Amino acid sequence: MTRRSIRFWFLVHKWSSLVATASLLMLCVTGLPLVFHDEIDAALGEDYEGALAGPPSASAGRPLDAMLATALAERPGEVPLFMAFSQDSPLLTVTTGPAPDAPGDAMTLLFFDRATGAALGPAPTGGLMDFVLTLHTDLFLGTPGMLFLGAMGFLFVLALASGAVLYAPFMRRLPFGTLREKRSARVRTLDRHNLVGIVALGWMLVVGATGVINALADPVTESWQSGELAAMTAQYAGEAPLAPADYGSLDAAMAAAKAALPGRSPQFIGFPGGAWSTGHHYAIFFQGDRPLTSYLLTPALVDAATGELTDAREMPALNQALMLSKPLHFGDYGGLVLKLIWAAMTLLTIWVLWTGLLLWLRRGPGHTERRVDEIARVAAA
Amino acid sequence: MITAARKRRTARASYARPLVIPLALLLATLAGLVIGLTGDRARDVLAWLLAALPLLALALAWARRG
Repeated sequence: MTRRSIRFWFLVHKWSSLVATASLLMLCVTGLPLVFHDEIDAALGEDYEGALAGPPSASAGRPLDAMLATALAERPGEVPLFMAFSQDSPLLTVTTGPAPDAPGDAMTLLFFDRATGAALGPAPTGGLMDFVLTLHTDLFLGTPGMLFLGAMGFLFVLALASGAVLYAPFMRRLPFGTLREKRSARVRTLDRHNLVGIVALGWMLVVGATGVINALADPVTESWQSGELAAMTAQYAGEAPLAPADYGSLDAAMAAAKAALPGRSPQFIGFPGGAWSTGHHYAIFFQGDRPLTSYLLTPALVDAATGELTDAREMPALNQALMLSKPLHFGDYGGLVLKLIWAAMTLLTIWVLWTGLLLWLRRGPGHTERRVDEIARVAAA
Repeated sequence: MITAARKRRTARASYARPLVIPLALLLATLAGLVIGLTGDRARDVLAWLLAALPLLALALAWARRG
């Protein structure tokens, strides 16, 4: 490696890290409690699923039309936006809003028990975990905030790649895992930064890259809606949106969708006029029937007036990548041990960020050239 | 010529050498995280073992610090 290319990668590492460090520290500190979201909710008594007995709402229970009527009676004058099912308990949720294209902050999320038909009231909002999740997702700034954090995630991936490139020449004369504890404070910090960074590299790359993909959720969903979904429902193009009063039976629509995608379990229904459907359709999203494909959703588009199937088609690769990115980012798919690994890796990431910041704060005059010389000397030896 | 080629090979090898263990840990992590997605129980346990290898490597290095 030439001194020139070492200098290039050093500067990439330095600047991509410096620009993103503050955001990344925030993401680590908020991400740590989010790993244990389920456990914290259960401890705070907000685990609605565990308290309900009966078959999962995705497979059985009261008719969907009856559940929807109960929901709309609770919110007079509003229209249904989403209905979502649980794979584990009778919990069924209905989202309503003042109009079919209502923005997220105008929506109301209601909980129901599909086994008994009982209304469980509106979902609790404004809790500590909601605050932490919003901060982690979009800094309370909506889509611009998400895209900003996505850009920070991209810089993180760049910092990881450039750090790994510099690791090779730096470690040329040192065995793996070297920690020179008797040397200066700078060498001690640098060795720890390099070691922790390189062992956590795989995890940080996965969580960084999937975080970037998750940050692009809104544009990726919009591109599916304007591309694939529009193509699936081309014969409806140009028709006026269906009025909520003309929505037909949900149970008939679900039966038609299940006939098209047999053996699969529904996850949620996007009602006409929202971001997940057209102006005319119930978009019923089904999970795959195997562990890996259970993360991949396939929509069946059912004419909301007649209950007849229009089309059922897998989502494009980019949307599938987005769906697989969620578990890989959250670490919630392998039990408590995996969550503990996620937590340990998050703490190591904080350590790498912190030691990186210390190395920069303690820099002397002309530090870039001296650091580049240091690596180039080992590389040339 | 032969010595120059050998020299180049040695130079490449010594650049690659520090990357052997990191690359193994990286692949173990990726394999663990993906295997955990593909099933429960046995696959989850395999995922834990693979994804915990980097933590083990770190603990060993820390125990041997000098």
